Amino acid sequence: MSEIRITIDTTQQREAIKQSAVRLDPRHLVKNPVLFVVEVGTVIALLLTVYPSLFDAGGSRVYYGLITVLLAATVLFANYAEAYAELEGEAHADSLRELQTETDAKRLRNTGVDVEAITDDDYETVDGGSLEQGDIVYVDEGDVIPRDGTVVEGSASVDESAITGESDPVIRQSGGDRTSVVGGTEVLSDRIKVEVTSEAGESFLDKMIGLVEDATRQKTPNEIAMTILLSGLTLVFVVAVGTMYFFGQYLASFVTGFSGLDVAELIALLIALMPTTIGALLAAIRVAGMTRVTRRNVIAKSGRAVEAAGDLDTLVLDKTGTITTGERVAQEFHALGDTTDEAVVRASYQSSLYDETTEGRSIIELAEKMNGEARADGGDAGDIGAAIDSPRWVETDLEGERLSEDDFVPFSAETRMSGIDLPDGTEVRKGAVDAVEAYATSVPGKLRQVSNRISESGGTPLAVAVDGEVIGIIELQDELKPGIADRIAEIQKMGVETIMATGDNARTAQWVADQVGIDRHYAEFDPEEKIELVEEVQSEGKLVGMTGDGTNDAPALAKADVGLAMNAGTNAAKEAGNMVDLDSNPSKIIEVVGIGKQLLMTRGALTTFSVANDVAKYFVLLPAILAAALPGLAGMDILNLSSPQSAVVATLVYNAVIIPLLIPLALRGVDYEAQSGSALLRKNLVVYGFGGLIAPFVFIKGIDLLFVAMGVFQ
Amino acid sequence: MANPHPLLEYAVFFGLAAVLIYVVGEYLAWIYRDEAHSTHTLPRHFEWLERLDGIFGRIEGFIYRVAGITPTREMNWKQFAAAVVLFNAVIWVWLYVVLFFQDGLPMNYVGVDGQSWDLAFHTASSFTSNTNQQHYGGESLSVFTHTFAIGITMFLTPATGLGLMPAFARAFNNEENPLLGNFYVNVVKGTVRFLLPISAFIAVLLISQGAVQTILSGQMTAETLTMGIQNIRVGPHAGIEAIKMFGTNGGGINAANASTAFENPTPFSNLVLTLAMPVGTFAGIYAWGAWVGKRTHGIVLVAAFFLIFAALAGVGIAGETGANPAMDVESNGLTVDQSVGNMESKEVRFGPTGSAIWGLSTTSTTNGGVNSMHNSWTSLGTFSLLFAFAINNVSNGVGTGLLNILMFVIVTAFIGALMIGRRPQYLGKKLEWQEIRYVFLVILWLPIIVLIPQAHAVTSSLGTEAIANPGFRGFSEILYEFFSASANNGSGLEGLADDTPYYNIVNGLQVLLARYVPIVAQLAIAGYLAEKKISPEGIGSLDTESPAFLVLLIGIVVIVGALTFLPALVFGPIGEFFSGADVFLNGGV
Repeated sequence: MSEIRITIDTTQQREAIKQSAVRLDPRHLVKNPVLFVVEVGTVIALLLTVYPSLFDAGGSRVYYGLITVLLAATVLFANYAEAYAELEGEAHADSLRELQTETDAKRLRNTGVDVEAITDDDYETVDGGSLEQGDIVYVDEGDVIPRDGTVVEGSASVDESAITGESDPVIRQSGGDRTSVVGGTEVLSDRIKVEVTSEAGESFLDKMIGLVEDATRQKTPNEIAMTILLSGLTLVFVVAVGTMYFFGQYLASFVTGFSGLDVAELIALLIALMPTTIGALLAAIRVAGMTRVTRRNVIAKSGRAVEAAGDLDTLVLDKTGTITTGERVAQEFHALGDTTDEAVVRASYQSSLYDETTEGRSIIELAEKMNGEARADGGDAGDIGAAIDSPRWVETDLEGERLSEDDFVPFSAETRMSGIDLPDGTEVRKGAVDAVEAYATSVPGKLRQVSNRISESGGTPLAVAVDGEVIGIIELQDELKPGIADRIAEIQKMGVETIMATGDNARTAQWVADQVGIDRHYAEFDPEEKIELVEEVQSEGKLVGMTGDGTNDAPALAKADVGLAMNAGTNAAKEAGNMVDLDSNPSKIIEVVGIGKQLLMTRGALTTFSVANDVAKYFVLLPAILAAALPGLAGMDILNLSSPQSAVVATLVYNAVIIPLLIPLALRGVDYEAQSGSALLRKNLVVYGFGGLIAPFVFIKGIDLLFVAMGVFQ
Repeated sequence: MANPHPLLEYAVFFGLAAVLIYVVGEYLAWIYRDEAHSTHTLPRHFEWLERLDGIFGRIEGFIYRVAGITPTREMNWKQFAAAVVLFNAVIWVWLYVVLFFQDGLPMNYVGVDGQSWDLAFHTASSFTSNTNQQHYGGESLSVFTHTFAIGITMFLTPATGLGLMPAFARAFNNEENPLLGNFYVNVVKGTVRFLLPISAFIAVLLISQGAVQTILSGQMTAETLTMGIQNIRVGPHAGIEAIKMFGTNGGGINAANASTAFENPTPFSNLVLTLAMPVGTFAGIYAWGAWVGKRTHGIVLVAAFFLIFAALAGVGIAGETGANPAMDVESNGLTVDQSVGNMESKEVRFGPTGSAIWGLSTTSTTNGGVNSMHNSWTSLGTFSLLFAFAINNVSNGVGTGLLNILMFVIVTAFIGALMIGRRPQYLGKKLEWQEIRYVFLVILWLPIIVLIPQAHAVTSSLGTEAIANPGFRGFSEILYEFFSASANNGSGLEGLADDTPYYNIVNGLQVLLARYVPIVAQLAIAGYLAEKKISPEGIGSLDTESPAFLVLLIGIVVIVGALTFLPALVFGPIGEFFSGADVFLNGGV
């Protein structure tokens, strides 16, 4: 899978820095209550810098000025985090938009003419932008498809790498589920008639860019709940610290030489306690999560869909395309009669040496793999690998006489067999069992028995014959996508149930399900039943994710909590799903689950970290702020900091600097591997909860030591 | 008389409490099994409870007929909340009328006066809200008031709290069904099956120890050793005391509350009464697990709050078994022997440990009863009491306690689910902003209604004129009073001359706001959740029965409590502790 590369260049860096200042506008900041309070605090601190005696107790201007600067830095860093993340999202949108180049279009005057017979007179060349919905255009080999549309006639191979990054061309043809073409992609061979399905500026790509931009700007549902939680915490601290000012006045009534608490220091305390870290990074976490999805070439139409992906209980998977490649490959060799295994492998290998079909390649691969395994075992006598000492053993075994492609007998519809004629005249053939049976002169009695058994297990038997004698059977089975069993095991570990629905017969379905460890499977499944399956699972209260590409998948895609439509599929499917995979790789839904979880997890981990930080901040700031009135409170200062001013400034430095320090983590997402909920909770509790208790102590003490070394605040 | 070793007392108390929480918890779970829509099954050794159904059922049926309750009429959250408010409003009016006019009512054996308008407002509000904060001495009420106003209220207000629990359980057991049950049925069942039999049992134990029980006389006259005549107030002590402790009430007949021998005669009665406080509240938390079909989860919740309770009790014992620095003086060559601990204003028969465990039991529940003068506690002991308030009285009140701790549990589930990459849900119900805003309203409510009035009181002569000790202790006196009102606790640090219009009105409003705003918000949460689908939980979900969940829950409770109230505590007990300036030399109470 290739990735769309997103780079933030220095201009964008500069833009992010500029944005951090522009976003100081209170009208913008009020949307983030946490940061808004920080800004208000900064303004009060600024006033105190100018008029130090605004609230009776006056401190030095330099000290107040420093507090002001650090508070302002907190807001600026927070704004930067948000702006940076949004620019990253926009950068992706721009990279998509660059694909939108205006091209000329060949609009058909006479739409009735056969696609293979179109001549220059049948169309007019117009500007791509002037096309209207419903126009029929002709796209010849080498032309760029001018606008999104549906193939109405013909079939062509199309290079969609511009949007998918996938270099292999795809087939687009009229009828069926592969009719839709995307503007900006190029026809490599053959020619098609395309009906334009979108207006200018409303193409699929335009819509996707719009969706990505909208989705990155809107808060997700969980983020709204999170904002309430953070606003609540902020309100608690406003009350807790605000009332301290009055408590200070009470203290002043009986402590001689103390006139009240320093307002600037109270503001410092308030802002240090407020969840500024997570408040600043919330937007970045969302944008980064969305961007991680788009980087995998999946367009999520909403942030809600990405969150829901993390929460899926059940995945409904197709068999073909998701779990299997749709090809059948050799799984096993069966010897018949008194033939040795070795002879069957050799004959199968020889017959497939120049067979370029997937089956043929898979026979070669299996034979070579068995050869390798046999040698690794040391090779028992009688074992198929015993006589084999190199991957190309057939050649050496044939006394140096090399087989050549000229000896290959290709598959023909007439014989339904392929094979090779060896230099000594030996005919080696393989093919469908009945075809080989018809060809052969000697058929062992067990042929039918073994081939039936293979068929019953969902496989396809191929008979192998040498010189008219059937000597064995090659068992073909569905080819599993590489690594699919591991990925299914992985999501099962996360507690996601997997259901496979396939139109295939029960035997094939059972075999595939057994191979990859699918929890439940449905065979002979009509795509129309998918909606019922989705609803049935949902009625158990579960969240369902599914993939689909056909028009008949559309209702189920719309009903599912996460519907990942394939870009190669029909427009109806793409409209219905809440995500579209540009690579049209259905097993990618498993990755999307991981990204959704990571998004939520990053949010939770940083919240825990942010709140745990407060414990240390209390231990540092309360004794510092009350130092004048309550010198005895120094007993609470377990860090033994050099001076109260140093404690306040060091805490604010930590508070501000931790934001940019955590931006990379917010953008990357917390480390995550598939494991059970309990194990994850334990791990994250230790890393972010316990880590959050310790980190500020270490940082603040470090900054304080730095101040001592610099000789300030002493 | 020698008290047992503190560790022994500590171990016996918490050991017995744990066993009783299990037994009473299973009993409570059985009582409301249907009202909670639970799939409750009785453990094997509790199956005999089924036989009680017939007897209780007949009594309840009779009450339903007399009171015109239709048990099958189910309420949605708004109707339920309206029923709670209406029911409590009636109690309030009855209390107010009796208190204001008690001089003209029967059974006024000793000729007490009616309460002033502001004191009656405070007292009626305080008892209606199950707070039992008293700005009067218990002796100033008539036997009629004690029996028919205070006594009955002491059953009906914890029953109100009990009645909320099954409704909240429905929030999680209902699948897309907004009906939360019938509030009145819950109140009747809670009173008939839970409060009456258990407090009758406690009352009998108290009478066996020598506690007074009469409604026919208001006082007894005794001749003292010095030949003086002393009139001692008596009344339905044993009965009131039993429900006072078990129903997280707290307002006693005597101003000296449970330190008097009439209410609490012996160390054994003290143990019984101390146990009665946490057993009632924690039983509700235990029962939660049975109602939602996850007894282990209930045990985890009990464990979390029980550990906090036990830890704070440990701090309290450490404070009170140590010496009081203010008593460390020499006068005329005499010193105070503090080898057993800080004995000022403590009963010898309870000792420092028995008093400390009681003190923390009273503030780890919303019980207002006291058996020692809290204002005489050391700064460390006072800190443990106030910190229990800061986390909303740990297990809070009967019924309401469960709902309040569930607010913290929901926050824990919210954060915990995110930490494992799931959208937040608790017991299969998705937690979204609609619920979270009310959860936070409830959690924020305590700091708002405590700290803002506190800021006013300490800077206004209206507030400061009432304090008995200057400085940090004076701050603690007001803070304790406001906490006590705002957490519906009712106990007092005392020392505060609080029968003033200012304190009567401020505290009166606090008790009402503290009780009814969270209840309505919690019923709203139940209403939202009840209408949601139940999502199944699997290995990818947050395991609410794991030790990690327990740790996160304790962490969130303590951090939220500490973060909110630590600044205020610095101006009270923490400042006192670190400044070494215990204030008793300045004429403490």
